[in-house]
Amino acid sequence: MDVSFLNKFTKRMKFVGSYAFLFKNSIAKTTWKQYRFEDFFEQTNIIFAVLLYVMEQSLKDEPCTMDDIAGFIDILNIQSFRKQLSNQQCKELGDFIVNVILSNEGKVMYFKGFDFNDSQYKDIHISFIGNKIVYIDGDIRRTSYYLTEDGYNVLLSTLEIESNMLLNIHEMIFKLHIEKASYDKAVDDVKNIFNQLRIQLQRIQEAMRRIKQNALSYSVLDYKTILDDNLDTIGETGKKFSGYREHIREKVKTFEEQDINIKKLDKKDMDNLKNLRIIEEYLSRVIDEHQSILRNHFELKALYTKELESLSQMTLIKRFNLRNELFDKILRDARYLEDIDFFTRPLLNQEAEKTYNINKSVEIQKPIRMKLNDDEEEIISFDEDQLEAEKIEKLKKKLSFYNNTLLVILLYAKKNGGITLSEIKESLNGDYTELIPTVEIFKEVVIELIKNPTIDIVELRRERSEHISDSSVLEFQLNESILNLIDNNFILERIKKVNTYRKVDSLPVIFENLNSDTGRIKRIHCSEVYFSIE
Amino acid sequence: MSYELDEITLSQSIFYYLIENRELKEDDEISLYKAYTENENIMQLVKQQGNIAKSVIERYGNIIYLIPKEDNDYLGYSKKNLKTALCKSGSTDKDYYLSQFVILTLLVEFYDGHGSSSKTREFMRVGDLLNSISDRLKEGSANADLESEERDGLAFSNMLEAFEALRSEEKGSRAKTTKEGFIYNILVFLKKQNLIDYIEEDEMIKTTKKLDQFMDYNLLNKKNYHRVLAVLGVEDNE
Repeated sequence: MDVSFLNKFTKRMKFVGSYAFLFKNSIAKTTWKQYRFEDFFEQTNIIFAVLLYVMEQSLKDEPCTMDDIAGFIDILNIQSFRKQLSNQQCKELGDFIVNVILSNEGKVMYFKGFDFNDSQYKDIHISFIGNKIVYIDGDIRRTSYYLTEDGYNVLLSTLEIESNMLLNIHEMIFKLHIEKASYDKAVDDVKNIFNQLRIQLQRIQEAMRRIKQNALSYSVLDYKTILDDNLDTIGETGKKFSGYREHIREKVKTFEEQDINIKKLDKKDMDNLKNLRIIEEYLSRVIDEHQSILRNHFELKALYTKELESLSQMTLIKRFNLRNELFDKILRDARYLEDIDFFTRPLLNQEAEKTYNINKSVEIQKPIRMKLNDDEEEIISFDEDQLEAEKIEKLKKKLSFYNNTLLVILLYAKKNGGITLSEIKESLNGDYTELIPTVEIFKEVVIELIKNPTIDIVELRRERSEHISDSSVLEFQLNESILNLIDNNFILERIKKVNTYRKVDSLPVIFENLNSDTGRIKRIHCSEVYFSIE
Repeated sequence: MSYELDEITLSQSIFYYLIENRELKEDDEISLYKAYTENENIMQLVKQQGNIAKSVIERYGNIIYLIPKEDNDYLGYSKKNLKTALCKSGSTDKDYYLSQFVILTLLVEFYDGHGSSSKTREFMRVGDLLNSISDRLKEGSANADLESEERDGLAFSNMLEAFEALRSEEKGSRAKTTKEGFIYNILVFLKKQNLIDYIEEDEMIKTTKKLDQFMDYNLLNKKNYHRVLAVLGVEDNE
C-alpha cells in the first residue's frame, strides 16, 4: 500500500506532541485543587491564557518575571475567574503553570514520533518557554520567561495561520485599508506586520541561543526552515515597506499643508493625520526590524558553521555516564566520597595568594578617611548584589540626613511661626549634628529652600495627586521631602506655606566644627536666612 | 625546534593572563586569543607552561581555560581549602562529605544524558535539589551494610542525620544551620566559580556554558576515566 500520505507524519507529531505534553503535565496534578481549578477545561484555559501573556511580553521584548506572571493571573482572576485566591497563591499558581507544566520542571521534553520512512520512533524536541536572566531596573537579577519558537507555533496554530503566509496576508490587508483610506484599521495592520517581523527576529535569536547551547539539538531541517523564512522576509519587505513609507509621508505632508494653507482640518481629518503618523512611525520600525533580521540572518549562518565545526571535534569524544559509572557506585558505598574531590577539582580555581610588597609601606600616605572609603569599595566589589544593596542603603542614609536637616528647620520655624538661622543656631546650643550632618547637605537644603521662596503645600499636594511619582527615587527632592515630613509629623500637620528669604543686611552666621564629605572639619560663614511658616 | 622571541613573549603574556583570570575569552582579549589559536608554536608553549604549573590548558568553544590538575593545591582547591570554603568553621568531616555529595548530586541531576551532550535539564529549583539530596541520601543509607560503616566512620546514615538535623526554614534562610543556608553557601561558591547561575529571587539554578563544556569535554570524557577509577580506589593499569 502506498503510504506517502504519512510522509510528513513526524512534523505533524511535533504539533500533536506539544499538546500531548501540555495535557500530560497538567492532567491529574492535584496541585490544581489547591487553587480551585478543579476541572480540566478550567485548567486548560488558564494555561493558554498564561502562554498568551508570555507571548505578549516576548513580542514587546519586555521582561516577564514570575512577579509579572503572578500579577497577570491576579488581574485575570479578579476580572474573570473569580476564584478565592490570594496574591501569594496567584504567584504559586503561576510558578506551577510555568515551571511544572510548561517547562516540565526544567527537564527536557522529548515526544516520540514515528518516522514511517525509517520505521522507527524518533525523538522530537518540544519546549514552550525558555528563561533567561535579566536585570530589572539595572541591578536586580531576575529570571525572565520568553516564548520559544515551538511555543509561538503552538499559539499561532490556535488562531493564526502558518507563519510565512502571515506576513503576506497582513500586508495585503494593510494595502487594502490604505487604499480605502481607513487609516484607523491600517494602524492595526501595520502593528501586526511589525509583530510578525518581531517574531521572525526572535526566532532567529532563539535559534542562535539554541545553537550556542548545543548545536546538535538544532536540526538541519530547522536551520533550513528558518533560513528560508528569513530570505522570504528579507527579500520582500525592505523595498516594499520603504515604498509604503514614502507614500504615507506624502499623505501626511498633503494633510499638513492643507492644515496650514487651505483650511483647518476637521476632526475626522485630524484623526486620519494622527493615524497616518502612527503608521509612518511603525513603518520606520518595520524597516529597522528588517535591518536587524538581515544582520542576524548572517550572524546565524556564521554561528551555525562555527559551532558545527567545533562540534565535529566533540563527537570524537567518548563519554561515560556519570550516574552509572560513579554516582550509583558511591550510593552503594559512602567511603568513595573520601576522594571525590579528585573528580571535581578541575572545575574549581583557587585565588592565588598575594605577596606583600614592602615598598607599599613607604608610599605617600593619603588622608585616612579617603583611604577608608577606598577600602570599603574593595571589600564590597566582589559581590555584586551586596554592592548594590549597600549602595541603596547609603543613598537611603544620605536621604535621611537631608530630611533631618529639613525637619529641624521646619520644627523651629513652626514653633515660633518664623525664625532666623542665627536663632536656630542659638537654640541648638552647639550640637549641630541634626541640622548640619555635613556642610554639603546643609548647603544644598538651604539653597533649595532659597530657590523656592514660597512653597505652597496645598498646591504641592494637588500636584502630587495628579502625577504618578516614583516614590522610590533616592535623591533629595525638596517638594517630595517636605510633603513626606508633613505627612509623618503631626506637629507639622497644619503647615500651609513655607517662606524662605535671605536677609542681606544682617551679619553672617558662623558655625564651627562641622563635618564635610571630604572628612575635613570645617567652619562656615553663611548669610542670614529667615524661615517662616503659615 | 626553535621559537621566535615574539612567540615566547606572547605565550608568556597568555599564560600570565590565564593565571590572573583562569580563562581567556575571545571577546575580551582578541589579540591573545588569536595568537593562541592561530599559531601552533604559541599554543605548544602555553600548554607546556601550563604543564609546568601543574595545569592543563584547553580551548572549549571560544574560551581558553586553565584547568588545574587534580594534585594542584596552589591554583586548585585542596581538600582542606575546599572544606574551609564550603563549610562553616568548626564543622566536621561529615559536613564536608555532605557538601561534596550535594555537588555530585547537582551534577548528576544536570548531566545524566547519553545523547550528543550529557546535559539533560535546563534548570532546577532549589527545592527540587533539596528533595533530591534527601532521597539519594536515604537510598544510600538503605544500601549500606552496617559493618563497613562502623569500620570506616564515613557513612550515608551519618550524612543523612547531619542533613536532616539541619532545620528547614521558609524560603530565603541564609543561616548555615538550616538546609537552605547550607545549600545556599555551596551554590554561592559554585556561582563564584562561574559554574552555575543562581538567581536567589526565583530559587533558580541554571548551569553556565563553562560547566556544560567542562562536563562534556573534560569530566565525563572517557580519556579522564582514570579519575573515576582513582575515586573508586581501583588501580589504573593503562
